[in-house]
Amino acid sequence: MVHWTAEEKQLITSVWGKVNVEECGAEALARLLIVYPWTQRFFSNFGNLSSPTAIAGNPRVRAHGKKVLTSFGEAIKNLDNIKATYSKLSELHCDKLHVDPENFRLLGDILVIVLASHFGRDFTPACQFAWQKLVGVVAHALARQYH
Amino acid sequence: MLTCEDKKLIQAVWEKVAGCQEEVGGETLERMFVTYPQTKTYFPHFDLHHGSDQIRCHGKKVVGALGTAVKNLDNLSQALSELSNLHAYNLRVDPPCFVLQLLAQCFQVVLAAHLGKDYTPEKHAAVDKFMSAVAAVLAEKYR
Repeated sequence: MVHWTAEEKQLITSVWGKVNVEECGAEALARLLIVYPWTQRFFSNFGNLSSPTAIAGNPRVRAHGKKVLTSFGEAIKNLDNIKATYSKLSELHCDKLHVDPENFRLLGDILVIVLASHFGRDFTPACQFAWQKLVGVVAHALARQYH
Repeated sequence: MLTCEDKKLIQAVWEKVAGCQEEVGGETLERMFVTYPQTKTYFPHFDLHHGSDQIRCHGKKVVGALGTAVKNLDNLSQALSELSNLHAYNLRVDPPCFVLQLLAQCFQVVLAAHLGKDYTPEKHAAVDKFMSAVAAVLAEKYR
């Protein structure tokens, strides 16, 4: 079980409280597909992904980004049991979606950059520490049921 | 490979931080030490407290080196040759690309925090490619 200090929990929830899940989720997923274009392989049926503009404006990317970040919210509500929270999703990503877990790390890093761009100086080094820890824990939980 | 468009975007980002290199460098290092404590093992001789002069100076050096790389995007290998030797034979930061990736992540967080919306996905992609290219050059002579 992951140990979270009171400060880490506070930093995570206070940032989360100000996050527009739809906007941030869409942006994070779009950036994943733009910065690491090979990740588009998982979204071949999403329509037009031919350019950064197309990706950023793609309604399916936006909707899926929102879905992904909403699920992150579940982790934040259950910081003391992220493993269980992601158990089914882990099976899904392995058995149905066939996603290399390395991609979870990439998305996590991108989410941190998106938060930094939204919150500027308020996204302090301590915030970054807590959030990098969180995205790492989520990535690990998502990879846990792989076989 | 860095395309012409990538190079333009990297230079555009660089112009934005040209005036505050020391600040950007210091902040990058501080974030790296706080977020990834294992990186402190390479600086046992440094005062790593917030606001430390050593972090500020070293951060300025690091960003200065990146600036040299930005001015020599067509020939990174040659431009960073000395630094490549230093990292391979002297500093031996291990594993070569992984730790430099941590620095790159923190550098991008600082850029994003400074530039906000202006740190567009396109600039993000170009800088990410650039930092990978720099890390690859620095790791060239490891073995």
